[in-house]
Amino acid sequence: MPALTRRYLKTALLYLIASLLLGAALRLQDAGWVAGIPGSLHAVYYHLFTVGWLTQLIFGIAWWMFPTLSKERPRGSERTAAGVYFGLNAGLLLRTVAEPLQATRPGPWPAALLVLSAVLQTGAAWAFTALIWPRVRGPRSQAS
Amino acid sequence: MPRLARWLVRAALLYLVLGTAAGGVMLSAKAFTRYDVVGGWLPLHLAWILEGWMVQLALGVACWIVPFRQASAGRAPLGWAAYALLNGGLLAFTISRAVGRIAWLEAAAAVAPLLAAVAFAGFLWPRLVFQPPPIEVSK
Repeated sequence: MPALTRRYLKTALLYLIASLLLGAALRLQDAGWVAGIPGSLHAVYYHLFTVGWLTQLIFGIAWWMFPTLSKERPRGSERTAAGVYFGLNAGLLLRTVAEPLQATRPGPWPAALLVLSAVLQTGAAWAFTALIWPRVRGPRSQAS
Repeated sequence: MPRLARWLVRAALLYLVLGTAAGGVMLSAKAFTRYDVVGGWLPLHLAWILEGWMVQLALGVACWIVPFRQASAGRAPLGWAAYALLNGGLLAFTISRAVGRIAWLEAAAAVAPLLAAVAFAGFLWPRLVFQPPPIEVSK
C-alpha cells in the first residue's frame, strides 16, 4: 500500500472517530442529556463524516487500486494526489472552525475562511477527478 | 475494468464535480449569510453527492471487482438499465428543480433510484456465489 494511501486512510479513520464523537454529542443534546452545542455544528458533523471519512477513504483506496496508467508512472502525479490530501483536509478543518463562528458571530474573518474552505475542498475534489479519470479504463488491448 | 463499470465510475466522478461545485456555492453563501441560497441548492447538492457520486461509485466498483460467474451471463441489460434509471432519475430531478418543480419529474426522480437498485441487484446477484477453490491433485 503506498505511503500516501496509508496517510489518506489513517486520516479518514481519525475523521470517523471525530465525526461520530460530535454526532454523539448532538444526539445527546437532542435527547436532553447535554446542552449548549451550537446548531451550526450539525453541518460540520455531516461533512466530517461524508467528506472527512467516506470521501477521503474512497480517494485513498481509488488512488491505490484503480487500473494503472503506465509502468513508469502507475498512479499519475503523486504531487497532485498529495495536493488533494492537503486541500481536502485544510478545507475541512477551516470549515470546522469557521462555520460555527460565522453562524454565531458573523464577521469578515470567518467569512473569508469559509470562502477559502469552499475553494480548497472543491478544488481538491476537482483535482482528484482529473487525477483518476485516465485510470478509469478497460484492459490495455481494448478501446475505452 | 468492464465497460459498464467505466460508465458508472465516470458518471460518479462527474457528479462529484457537480456536487462539490454546489457545495462550494453553498458554503460561500454562508460567508455572506445568504441562507436562502443554501436552502435552494441543498436538495441538488444532496442528490448529486449521495446518489450521483457515492451510490453510483459503489455500483461501478462492485461491477468491476465482483468476480464474473457464468450464471450471470446475459444479465448485462439489467446493469445498463440500472445505469440509465439512476442517471435518468438524477437528470429528472435536476431539471425539475431548475425550472421550478414539475410534479411528474419529481415523481420519476423519486422512483427511479429504487428501480435502479432492484435492477442492479438482479444484475449482480448471480455473481455473489461461493466459488470453491480448485481441487489440487497430488502427484
